[in-house]
Amino acid sequence: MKEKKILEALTDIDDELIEEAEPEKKAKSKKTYIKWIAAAACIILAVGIGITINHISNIYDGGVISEEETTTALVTESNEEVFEEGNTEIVIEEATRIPIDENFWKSLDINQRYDKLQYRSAIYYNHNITASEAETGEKITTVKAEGTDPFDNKSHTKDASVYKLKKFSDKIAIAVKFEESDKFFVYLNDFYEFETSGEIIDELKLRDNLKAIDGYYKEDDIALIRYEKIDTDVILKMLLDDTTLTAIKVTDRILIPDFSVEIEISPFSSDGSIAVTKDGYLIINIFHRETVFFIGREKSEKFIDYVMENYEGKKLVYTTDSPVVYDETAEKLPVTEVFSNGYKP
Amino acid sequence: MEDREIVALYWKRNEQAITESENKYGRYCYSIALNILRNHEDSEECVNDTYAKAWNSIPPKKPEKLSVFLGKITRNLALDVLDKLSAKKRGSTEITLVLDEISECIPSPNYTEKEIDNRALAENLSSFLKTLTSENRKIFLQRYWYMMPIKEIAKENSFTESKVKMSLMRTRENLKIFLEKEGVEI
Repeated sequence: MKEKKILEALTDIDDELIEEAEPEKKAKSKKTYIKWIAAAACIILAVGIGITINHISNIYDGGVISEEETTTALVTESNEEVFEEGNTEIVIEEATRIPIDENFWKSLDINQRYDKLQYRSAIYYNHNITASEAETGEKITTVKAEGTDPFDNKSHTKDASVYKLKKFSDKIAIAVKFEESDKFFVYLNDFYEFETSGEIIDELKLRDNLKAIDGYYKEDDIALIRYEKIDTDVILKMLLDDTTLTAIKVTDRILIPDFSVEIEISPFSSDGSIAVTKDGYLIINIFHRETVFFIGREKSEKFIDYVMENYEGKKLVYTTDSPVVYDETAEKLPVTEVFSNGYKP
Repeated sequence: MEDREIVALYWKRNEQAITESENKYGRYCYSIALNILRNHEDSEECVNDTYAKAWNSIPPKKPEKLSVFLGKITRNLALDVLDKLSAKKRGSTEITLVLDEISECIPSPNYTEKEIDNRALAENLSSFLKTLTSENRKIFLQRYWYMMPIKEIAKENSFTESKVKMSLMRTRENLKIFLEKEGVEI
């Protein structure tokens, strides 16, 4: 049985991958991280890119809602995610509950219903973004867009016209139009593999559209230090100045960033960050793909040192009372005083 | 006790190695087996067999990460037991779901290629997994290595279940594309 073969082969993947995914580890104490702080890994951020857009801020991701989970979908009117901490939902903005019933499918916008399609041998996904007619180029082809009704798990397909976007290659992003709507919806190839640093910079127009936000330095397993409002120029000049770097595959270890920076590339809302390891790896997380370059220890350390010298750091400390508390004294606390969700080392 | 100390006990043929393994990783191995078999007795038996296999393979092996070493043994044993349970039409619904999901990753047949062996497929899978973000990779492996139910993965990581499902769906799709590009024949 072929499925069984894949499951069996998974047994023999690299040990560090298995260890990283191990449940109920120490890293579980970081459950209370807000979404964009990953346990011992780089910070994932919202990424948007510079098409001027009517940004649909509905966070419903168009995916399947589990029958086990709830019979409602939580739809907020903001870009913030809803975080669940134990049995408590931390709702950032006011939320409206919509029941998952036989009417749920029809209540979705058409791009949310048919949220993926295949084009150029890749799957493109809806990201709840629209493009204006001025930003949309020529029509390329017609494809079948697909979606699943979470109420009955039934699959549906619909014809969709695919258009180029003027500012971006169709390798990364396309505009999609359905007969029932006059809008152009942006669908992204979330798993596109960039080959060079130049390609990332050019394809995503980073020099114009990149915005750096906060940086995070991983001090140890417990503490992170946050450096606020990093200048975008610092990233562009210190990390993304070389367009000739070739993407590499690091197979002998999992790269854990020492310093990572939240980035925005409007209007694409996807998880993204730019991070470095002290020993010289540059890790760019955009959409669902991680692209790695080697920039050298000297360059990495120079960047980390520059940020630490020129920006104010605040230590993030975790307690059982709230997800995140800033300790402005930035004194390193004895480990026994730092805990979260009852975890004590 | 540190892993290297436990491994040293194996090498010295000191049966305390089994006790220490059980104390440190018994629950971990049991949960791996239970997620696959969903049966207490079969899972316990798997875990006991794990220690026996570990005893027989260390030495000459000298694992650095004992948890992963033992976990792999347990997983393999549980999958073998599952085969037998399937033959008798017993077994967990969860595994049926997992197998169904994994079927989406099977690349389209490429009749010019020889069927790939498990070792090579494992290397391909490792390569693919390393292209993912750590979040997506963790979700994927917690589902298909650790065989955790989606609800548990969501709770473990403080995600919604729909986020977990979406991540899995997209990763499965891309695994299929990746295997097809690599010309893998399963």
